[in-house]
This record gives sequence, C-alpha cells and structure tokens, in this order.
Amino acid sequence: MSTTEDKTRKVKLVTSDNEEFEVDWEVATRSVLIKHMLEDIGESEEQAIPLPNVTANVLKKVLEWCEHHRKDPEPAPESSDDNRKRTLEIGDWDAKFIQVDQEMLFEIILAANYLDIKALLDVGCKTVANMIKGKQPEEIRKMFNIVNDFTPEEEAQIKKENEWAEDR
Amino acid sequence: MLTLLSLPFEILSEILKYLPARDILRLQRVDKFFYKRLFIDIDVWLILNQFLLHDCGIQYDIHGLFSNRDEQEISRTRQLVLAPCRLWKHLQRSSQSEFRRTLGFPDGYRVRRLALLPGGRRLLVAPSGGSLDLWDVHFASPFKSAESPTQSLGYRWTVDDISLHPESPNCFVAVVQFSDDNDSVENSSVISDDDKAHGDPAAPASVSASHCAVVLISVPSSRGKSPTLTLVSVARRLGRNFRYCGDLIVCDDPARPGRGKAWNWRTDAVIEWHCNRDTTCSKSATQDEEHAHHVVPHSLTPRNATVTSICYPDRTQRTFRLPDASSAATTSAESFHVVESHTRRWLPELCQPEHAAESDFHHHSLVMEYASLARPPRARFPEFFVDVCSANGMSIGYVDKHSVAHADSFQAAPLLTRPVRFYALALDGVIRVYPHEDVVLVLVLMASNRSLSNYGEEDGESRRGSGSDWGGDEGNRSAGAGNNTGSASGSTEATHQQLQTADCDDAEDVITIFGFVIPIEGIYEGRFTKSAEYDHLVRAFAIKEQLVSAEEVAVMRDSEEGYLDQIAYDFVSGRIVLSGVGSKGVIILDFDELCVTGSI
Repeated sequence: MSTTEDKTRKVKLVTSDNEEFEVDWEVATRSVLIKHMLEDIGESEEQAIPLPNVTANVLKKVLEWCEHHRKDPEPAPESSDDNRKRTLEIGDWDAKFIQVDQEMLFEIILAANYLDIKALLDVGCKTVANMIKGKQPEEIRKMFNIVNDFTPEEEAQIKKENEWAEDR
Repeated sequence: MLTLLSLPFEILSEILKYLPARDILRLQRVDKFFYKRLFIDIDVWLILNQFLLHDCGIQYDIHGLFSNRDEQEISRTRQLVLAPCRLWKHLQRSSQSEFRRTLGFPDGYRVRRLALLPGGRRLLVAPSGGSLDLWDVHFASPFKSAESPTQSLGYRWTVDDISLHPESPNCFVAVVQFSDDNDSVENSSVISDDDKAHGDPAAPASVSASHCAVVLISVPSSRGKSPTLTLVSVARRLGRNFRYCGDLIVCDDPARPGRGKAWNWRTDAVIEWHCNRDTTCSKSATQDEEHAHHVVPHSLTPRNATVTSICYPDRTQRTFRLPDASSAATTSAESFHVVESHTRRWLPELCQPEHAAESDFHHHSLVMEYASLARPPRARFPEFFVDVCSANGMSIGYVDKHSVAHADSFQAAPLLTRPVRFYALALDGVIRVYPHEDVVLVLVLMASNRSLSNYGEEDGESRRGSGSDWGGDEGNRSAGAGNNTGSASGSTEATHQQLQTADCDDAEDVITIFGFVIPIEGIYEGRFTKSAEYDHLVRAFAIKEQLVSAEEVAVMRDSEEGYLDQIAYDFVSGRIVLSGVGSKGVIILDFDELCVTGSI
C-alpha cells in the first residue's frame, strides 16, 4: 500500500546507456522489479536504480505506458484462472501506444518482461499474437522477415501432420 | 537487430498462449527454428492445451496433469497432438495411480462417495475405509491438498451416501453404514442424549452391519479445520444397500426381492414397499392424457413399486399435487404425482388420490439424487430443472422455477418431459437435463452393467405395447415399435451421425457418462429415441462452441475399472464432479464453461 509520501517521492532510474530518468514513485513502481529494488534500498532517495537491460529509448516508451497506467489497480497475483482462454483484445490507448516498429515492439516486450510489468507484457504479447493469428506461414515469414529453410518436401510433411488443426 | 526469433523461450510461450493450436502449428511451418521450438524445445502440452482451449473450448489442465512428464511422455504427447482425438484414449490408458500421483491423491485412495461444497471449491470425499476428507478443488489442479480428515465417529463405519443438506449451506447429510457388529452406537461420543431422544425407542441397543444411521456433517468455512460429524438419527436395522433420498433411506429386503423398507429419518416413519412387477398397465385414462403420458410412460410401469403402507407422522405437512389439478379425480395409478413437503423436498410418486394412504410408490430406487432437488436451480438455468434418476429402474422428478410443481409448470415446459422420458426409458442410469436458452444439455450417467445396445431386448418384453406414447411431436412418434426404444424419425439421423463415436465395443461394461447438447427444437422433433442411435451417442460430450450443432468433441469412457458412481454438483459455482469414471477416478466439469477442468 503506497502512502501519500510515496506518491510525491521521485525515483531515479539509470539505463544501460547511462541515461538517467527521474520519475514519480507511483509510475516507477508499476514495475515489480523496481518496486522490490526500492523496498530493498529503503528510504534512500538519492540512490539510482540501475536498469542494465533497458536502453533509454525503450525505457522512455515503457515509462510512457507506466505514466498512463499509474492509477491502475495493482495487478492480481497469478491466479488459478491463469489457465483460462486468453483474449486478444487490447484497449484503445494501448493499441495506439504499441503501434511501433517491430524492433521496438520486441524491445518493449523484453523490457516489460525484465521489469516485471505484466500488463505491458500482455499488451506486447497480444500484439505479436494478433500479427500471427490467422496468417499462413508464408505471410508470417514475410511479416517477420524470416527465411524459409524447409525443403518443399519437409514443409509438405509438416503441413500434413498438422492438418488436424486446420479448419475442417 | 531484435526479431521474433530472438525472443526468449518464455516470452514466445506467452505469445503462444493467445493463439489457437492452428496458428501455433502454422508458425511451426515458418522455418526450422520454429519447428524445433514448437515441437522440441517448447512444450507440446501447450499446443494441446491451446487446442483444447481455443479450438475446442475445453479447459483442461494438461500442464498440471503431467507436470512430471519425461521425454517419453512428451514423445507420446506429440503423437497426441498430431491426433488430438486420441486425447481421451490416452487418458483412458493412463492408470488411475498415475493421475493420483500427479495430483496428490494417495495411492490406493478410492473415492466412494463425494459431494461438492457450495462454491465448488471444496470437495467432501468419503473414501473407502470409513473416513471423510476435504479436498481443495482448483481449476489448475483439481485436488491440491487434503484438509484434515473428519473426526472419527467412534466406531467403524462407511459412508453409504452423502448429499448436500437442502437447507443448511456447508452441511451434508450422510447415510452411514456400520461395519463392525461389535461396535455400538452407544460407544460413540458424538451421540448426544438429544440424538437418542429423537430416535426410535425400539431402535436396537447395539449397532450391527445391517444398520444405518444418518449423520450430519458440518464443514467449517475456514480451511484447515475438520468437518464435524453429528449423528442425527439413531441407527435403524433396515437392511443393506441403503439408498438415500432426502428424508428417505430406502433399502431392499434381501430375503424378499422386490420388497424393502424406507425410513424417513426426519420423522422416523418407516414405509414398507414392494415392487408391483406383475402389473400390466393399460393406457392411462386421464383427462389430460398427454400429460400423463409424458410423465409416466407405460413402459415404466413394470418397474413401479407399490407402497403397501405409509406412515407419515405429520401428514398435514404434506400435500399431494397432481400435474393437472383438473384431472385429479380421474387420474389413474399410472399418473405421475409429486409430493410436496414443507421442507421443499420432492418425491415423485404414483398415487391414487382417493387412496392416498396406499399410494403407489413410483419406484423405490428414486433415492439417488433427490436431496439435490431441494435447492432451486441456479439463476442461469432459470426455467426448470429436471432430474431423472434410477438405480434399478426409473424415477422422474422435477422442479419448476418456483420450486412448485403444478399444472402450469408442466404446460409451460412440455419439453421437460420429453427428453426425460426418452432417456429414462432407454438408459439405466442417472440423467440430468438442463434447459438453457435454446439448447438443452443432457448428462447421462450410466450406473449399469447393461449393454446399451441390448437394453431394449432385455426388457423389451415387459415394455411392449408402449410405442404409442413415445416420441415428441406427433409426426415423429414411434408407432408401436414394440420395444422401449421405438424408432426415431429419419430427420434425426444426421445429428446422430455427428455424435457418432468410434468405440462402442465392450458393451457389457457400459459407459458411465456421456453428455451432449441438443437444440430445444430437436427435442420437439423427438430426437434421440432410436435404440441404435444410442450407440452413437455414447461417450459423446459436446462442448460449448459446438453446442448447437451437437457435434461430438470428446469422449469419456472407460470399461476397465468400473463406472461412474457418483456425481456432485454445485449450481452456484457451476461445477460438477464425477467420480468412478473408470480409471479416471474423478472428473471435474465446469458447468459454466461446459468443459472438463480436470481429472484424476
């Protein structure tokens, strides 16, 4: 539970390329990783949090998301319903936010994973899943710039194996 | 440059969880990297899971079920993925101990009776051996942990039946059978003086194996505490093989087949009954012939039991209701009546109003499930709840949305009687019919060693001549087909073909459960009435996405280790727990999702 003091508190974050960001405690603690690190270092406001796996341009984007979602309720812990079917729906703001080039998209996903921001990770994964869903292998290759290294025979064999999953 | 291929394994897994199996497998064809990832590195169980979740709508915890899988298992699963229809066969092949080991049930733990607590999160289990256990029921892993077993009753006993107490949440009523002649109820510390005072003064001083008692089980709301047993009735010597139905505990007289006693443990009344097996029933001559036929098909009458004496200490608290009050005066003995009690417990009875004291007891085996009827159906099935159950024969009960059975309810829902009648006549088991919007889910629980295919032949003789009261609408009725199964309209053929399943052998050990959903209009068309078609229906379990088309999706069957013998359900949580389904042991169905959520 955050206090009023926490909400006015500033947090310093240092990226892998040594850029420093000063953000509100409420924004920074959207990241579970940062939250735990802040808990570890205690009241020391001067101590910067190093984020060696995140570059400045990616962190900037991540913080933009955190800023927008700063008032969101705490994410629920992993529930027993985690095994339920997941939907691919993304909110309007998030959909617009995630309209970035593929490299940035994957960077955001990696950063969200590293910083333990589950909601952002979900947005990224859903976006990629949306890009894949319903597409044929050739379309996927084209979209993600992947070279087909199967022989035609191999591909035909796999296709045959997987026929059961196709619409019948 | 960061690409899709550079994403770590766990993120790729996360992405795949949003995709149907079809898309995952297409991804596999993109390049060799993905092929390796998706079929070797990555969890093939995930693909199967996704197939079940997205493509089939089945929530099945594959991961939890086989968390200790090895390479051989994965290899085997890969084959399963290639042919997911083999899933159930695979599960059938897996031993009961394998499932139990994975999910935490001790080896050798055999579920004898079970009941779900309201909320569907905890399961009260009476295993073999005379104890009662509480289990946590989780979606991910159905049986995570056992809570403390119940206190002992003080003597050796086994639970003969458990049912949710109709009026007290978190309370169960259990029929306990004593297993040791040398132990006495009096030795039990749980019997209070009040308990004894409520008992019959003529009750035996000691309790032997031929005695049963009724125990109230109070399950604490907080976890970690043991359920409390309270003996609420002093044991009575009734005979073995008790069957429990709300207030009634019924047993057969081993010396005189077709006869027995029924004990109302609340009122302590004893009813003697006998089966009127020789009765040859003529067509009912009610004014409302349609109703009479719907409710009590003639072919049931050879199995009717006649209550030779009834003693209700407080008759004023019970009233007899007829399906159609206007026809009460002329309703014959074959008609169907519901006894309404102040406890809102329902018993189907055949009675002659003018001789109410000598009412025909529809069938003594109505005891199986009726306690559950005392609870009104949940809101999402607002209209009606129909229950047909039978151990040796058929009984029919029903409750309408006001928990009052009367003429209006029958007229408002003619569909109720039809599917019930079809299955009651054709199958020896417990049938539950859940009308919901424009479909009806039918769960059929087989508790018989009778072959589906020869059922009609076996009993056909006694059921002859009843063809005219078969079927739904006029156009589809069987016209004197001669046996109980009659013949269905040709229009149903396509549907049954859709439901056809591959394995219909081993008819001697019949299937224990199958469920399917049919459009309401199908009911009116008199579908599912042809005997040969039951073979195709057997083991079919239709899932949510394909309800309307009634297409078979999965099969649950096992003939090796028994049959389904227990069902527990909770309308609030929408969970159904089935036990004894062959080697599966226990299967959990999520009724909200109409899917299987786990099994052991």
